[in-house]
Amino acid sequence: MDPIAGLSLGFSNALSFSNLGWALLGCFLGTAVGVLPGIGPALTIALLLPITFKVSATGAFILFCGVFYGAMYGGSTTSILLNTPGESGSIITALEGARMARSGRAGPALATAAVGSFVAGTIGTLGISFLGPVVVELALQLGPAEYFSLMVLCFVTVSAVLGGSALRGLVSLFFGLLLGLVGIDLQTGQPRLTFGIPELLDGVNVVLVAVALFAVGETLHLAWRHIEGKQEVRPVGSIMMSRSDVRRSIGPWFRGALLGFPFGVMPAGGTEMPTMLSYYTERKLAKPEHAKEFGTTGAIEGVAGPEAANNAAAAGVLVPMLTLGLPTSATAAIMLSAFQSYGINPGPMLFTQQADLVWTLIASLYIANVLLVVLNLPLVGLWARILKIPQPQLYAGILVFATIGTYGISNSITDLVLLYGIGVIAMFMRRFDFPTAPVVIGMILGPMAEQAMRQALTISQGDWTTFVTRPVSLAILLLAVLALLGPRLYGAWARRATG
Amino acid sequence: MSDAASRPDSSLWPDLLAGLFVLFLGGLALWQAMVIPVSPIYAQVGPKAVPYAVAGGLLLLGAGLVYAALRGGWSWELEGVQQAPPTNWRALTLMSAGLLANLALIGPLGFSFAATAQFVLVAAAFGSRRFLRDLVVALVLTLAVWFGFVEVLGVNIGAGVLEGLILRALGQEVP
Repeated sequence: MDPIAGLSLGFSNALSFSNLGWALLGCFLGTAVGVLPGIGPALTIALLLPITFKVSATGAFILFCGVFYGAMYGGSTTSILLNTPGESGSIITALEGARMARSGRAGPALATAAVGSFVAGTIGTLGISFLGPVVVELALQLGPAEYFSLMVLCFVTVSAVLGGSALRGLVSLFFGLLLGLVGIDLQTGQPRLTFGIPELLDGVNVVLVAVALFAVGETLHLAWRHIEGKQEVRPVGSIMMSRSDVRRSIGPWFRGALLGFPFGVMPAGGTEMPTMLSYYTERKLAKPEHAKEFGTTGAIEGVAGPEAANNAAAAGVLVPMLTLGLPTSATAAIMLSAFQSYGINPGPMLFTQQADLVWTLIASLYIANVLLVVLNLPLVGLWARILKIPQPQLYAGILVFATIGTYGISNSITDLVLLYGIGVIAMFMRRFDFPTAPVVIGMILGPMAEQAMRQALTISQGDWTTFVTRPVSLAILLLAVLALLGPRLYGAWARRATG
Repeated sequence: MSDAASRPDSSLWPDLLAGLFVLFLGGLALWQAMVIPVSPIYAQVGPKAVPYAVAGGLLLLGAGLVYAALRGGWSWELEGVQQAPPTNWRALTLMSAGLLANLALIGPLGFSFAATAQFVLVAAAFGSRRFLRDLVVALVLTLAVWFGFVEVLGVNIGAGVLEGLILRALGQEVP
């Protein structure tokens, strides 16, 4: 189906009363969890996963995508008013945004972030609509061998290319792969890594792992280093942007969006790089009279650009997720597991077999963007008030949700023990700077990669060279090796050149 | 390392332990991979291949971490560690007590009481001193969450003591 026909079909579905309701609910929830420090979209969607047993796939995915987009909008509010970025993509926003808030310009900072998110979200969604079918065309040519190589590339980029250290990223990934292996082997029916515990035969639940990593581990880490004291929430003031604010923001919005989207689409995922690049670009391009606001009173360009880049990159992540079934962020990985719980196979067939679902989903992304601007600009006072929930009750409340989300899986104490065990590991991962997203991605993508590998080897009758004799597969694997070793070789070369 | 002198010696141990833990995890995986029963069903790649690969990967990465730790470690470079306030034992103890209380109570008393105990202890861990208010907030919140998850999301969680009382008071059947 071509994008125009797809979109018109999608909009006719998405504008139904119930689907609009799901979108609104998702946007509302997403903004709220984005605003609240300590919970993010991955945790929220994980907790909402039981809804997949009650609601149609379309409704559930509209809800999830609303949460996903909404959290991006909400995250900027926290970084501007509280100067504590909730997620990696908002760190850069906090740089200038918090400075603007300190000099009494929180309102325009929030406004430029919201409008920038809208511009970027819309450009990103346009990208999904028109790039998606193209990627699908290409992806349909790929066999299991190429798929396996693509997943290897995805593993390498999400764990080894981004973040502080390739070694620690890979450890996180392998921890996730290990968790993914637990349970009955689908092909042969053998129990694997169950330690003889019957509860583990079904595998480790993704909700449990997400809750352990993002709620229990995070809260434990905060308690470990807790200092008494209140955080100061800056007052919002008027959100009206002056004419000069708008003029200074337009360029950064579009540049940020165009910079961010490709980063999201590439299997590297991640929002740190595009937001940082956007920040330095805007700093370079700013007029001299505005440039001095960077790092002092807060420059609006430094909020508008990175915020747009952040949202466009987040939208871009949906391209590999919907077209290839490859998740490059923790949130996308959890959405992928929702597809699996509907028995839908994510991948290139999705666009043909589930055309209705995919295009309705894409259409509701446009709708979510509009809803989010409307929710965010006039209601910013409400979101600022959410920030005033005192820390003790906030974290205690998060753990209430964590408990019910985990205990609800099968009313099992074993699950809670596992939850706390992985939570303690997550606390130390935080302390030692091991990234958590590769754990979730490895856990979801690992079993899929194993399946693709075994299919490929069945086709090749056990010949392992199939991965390197098929040209496309070889090319992808070489790319993975390059992604793993390239930065290091470059570093060594640069050291020799200077030293 | 040239700048090893600027680094306090005490930071070597934590990194080494992190590396050793990953080695331990790899060993655990290797042991579990070895005890996977050999499959009677014919398959090009058996169920053991990937577990062995993952175990091998973990052992290799663990060795890498140990090597990095012995060369000076990485923790001392982290901003979060450099600026970290001292360990708050009071908060950690109270929070662990909260988690354990939940674990112990959720079976016999049900979700709301267990989660309420957890809420009060965790709030106290983060410095709340208004015990009674927390108790009331917790009871309301846990009941709302229980009804929300059971009625709206359709999660199957058995009614505990408190949930049963309320359901009976509402004249509904206790699941």
